[in-house]
Amino acid sequence: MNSFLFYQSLVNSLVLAMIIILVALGLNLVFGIMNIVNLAHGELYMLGAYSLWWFHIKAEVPYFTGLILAVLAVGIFAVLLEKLVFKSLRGQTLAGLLVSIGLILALQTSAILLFGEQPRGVPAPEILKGVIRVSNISISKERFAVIIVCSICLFLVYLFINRSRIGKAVQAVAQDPDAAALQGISIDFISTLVMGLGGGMAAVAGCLMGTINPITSTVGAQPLLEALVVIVLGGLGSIPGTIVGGMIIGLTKGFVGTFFTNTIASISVYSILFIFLIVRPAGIFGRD
Amino acid sequence: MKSVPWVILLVGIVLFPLTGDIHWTRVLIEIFMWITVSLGFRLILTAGQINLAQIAFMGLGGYAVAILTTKLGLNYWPSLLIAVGSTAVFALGIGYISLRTKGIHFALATFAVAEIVRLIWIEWKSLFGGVGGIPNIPPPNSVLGIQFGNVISYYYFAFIMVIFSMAVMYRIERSRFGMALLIFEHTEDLAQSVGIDCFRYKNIAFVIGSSFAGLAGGFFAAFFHYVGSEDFTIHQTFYVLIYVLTGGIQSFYGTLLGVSSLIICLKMIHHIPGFNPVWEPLFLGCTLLAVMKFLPGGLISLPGRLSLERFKLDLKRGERIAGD
Repeated sequence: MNSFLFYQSLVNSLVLAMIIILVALGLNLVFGIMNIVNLAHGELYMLGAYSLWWFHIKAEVPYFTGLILAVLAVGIFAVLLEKLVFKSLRGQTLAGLLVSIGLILALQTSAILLFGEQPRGVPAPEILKGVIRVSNISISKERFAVIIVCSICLFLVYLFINRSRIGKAVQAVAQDPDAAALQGISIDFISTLVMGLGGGMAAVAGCLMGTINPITSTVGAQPLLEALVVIVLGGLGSIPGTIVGGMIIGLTKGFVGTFFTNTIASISVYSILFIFLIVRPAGIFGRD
Repeated sequence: MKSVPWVILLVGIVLFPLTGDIHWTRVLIEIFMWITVSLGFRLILTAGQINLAQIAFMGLGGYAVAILTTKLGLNYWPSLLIAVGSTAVFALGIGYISLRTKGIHFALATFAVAEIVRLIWIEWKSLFGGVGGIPNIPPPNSVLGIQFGNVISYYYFAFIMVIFSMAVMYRIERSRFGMALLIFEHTEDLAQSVGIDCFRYKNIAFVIGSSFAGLAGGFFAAFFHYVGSEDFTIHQTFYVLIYVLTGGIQSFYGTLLGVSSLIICLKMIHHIPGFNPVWEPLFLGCTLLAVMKFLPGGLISLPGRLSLERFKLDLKRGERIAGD
């Protein structure tokens, strides 16, 4: 393998991995707290991308202000979803799964009715146009921005979960909801918070990818599936597992995609999910 | 005399194509096809396992018929048998591996299988025709002097298919095997301890359920003369799941009720002015949310629930009278 192709694939994999980790982390946090695998998480990603398009193109807000507004809007929407739909299903994994399937259908079609059937695109702002070159490896600035923004988000979430008081409460609820409740932690509040946080992270990923790829109503399906692979791989509810799993999936997709086709890359990613579910359902970092 | 309305309904369904209404005859054919798929889906659901690959098995049946008839020039009927058989064998393999997992893990494993199978259809162009699918599937050869050309012949083909699958399900539901499946969701360990081989039972249920999907897929190929990867996406599995849950899973009559009422509703939506195809998934998604929230037992539980409500009401009234 020549080294140029190798480094180029590595950079591409890193971009893919960052997006997947950001989506998977939200999904996994929600699972850790509420015991619900929210299949409609990909729809929050999709709504993030559409909201950025709406704010930036329709309402003509500057790009970065639009991005923040889009993330806030989706975060609030996720909080509403938690309050109205998922709150009563906390702890019921299968019922949560079924309800989220209903949400997928409802949200995808609502997005078509709201934002139109044709694919939408958000042009990158001036500052993100062009290419960065290091020796002969090139990366477009918008993709480089994905790596930077996602890293910052992940770092902030890490600080929040491990250093802040509320973050510790989140960990406590994930470990033992009853004991946490006895210590005076409001599980309702933590659930809402985590759902909003997860929705916000999915929206960040959606906005960044919406700047690179066209936005359609089904754009959330692939990141969702990959995020599912990641959380099974890393262990349901495990944060370090999510990051390691995301890296593995990003690398697989990046390298297989470069040397074969994107379809074969996706097939290998889902095969990893299938194999892991059979061999080690608890995942790399999960507790049995 | 209780069975009189049912007999009238049955005779009505049998004689329906004679009215010459092509549109509604086609709708009924679709209903029969989806009932077959949904009954298979429900069988493994009663054991507490959500099989999100059901549509992939239907697609396998369809593609098998398509390949055997167009590429190998085989007769339709032996192709259908081979298609159902190969779907069953594939399901046995998948089930043997993935039925060791439970609940959410099983749902995700079958989700992965469905996606892998769909992507292989797209990627392997020489065999499965890629995104374009396989067109020009010949109509079934005539049997007993019946030519397959018009809608009526397909109607009776589908009718026999659905009667067959209902008969199988009826037998299963009243057998020891069917009752054993019902208890797995809650007390698998207990079942195991009294000597029921849960893994084997689930495997059998999974293979039977998937074969039904393969059968319906073989019918799909003949009826539409075309199979393509777009016809067998995960969304179609979601629809099947919504039909089954809306009907209620306690009894297979619930599945019949769910499939027929929802498909008829979907066709009614078409007549609303300003119809947009995206209303269909929107309607089904909202139906699922509403059913999960307000009617967890599905439509089939409605009569019992209503009489329970009336009973409670009577009780309250009785108390009030007693209070006076």
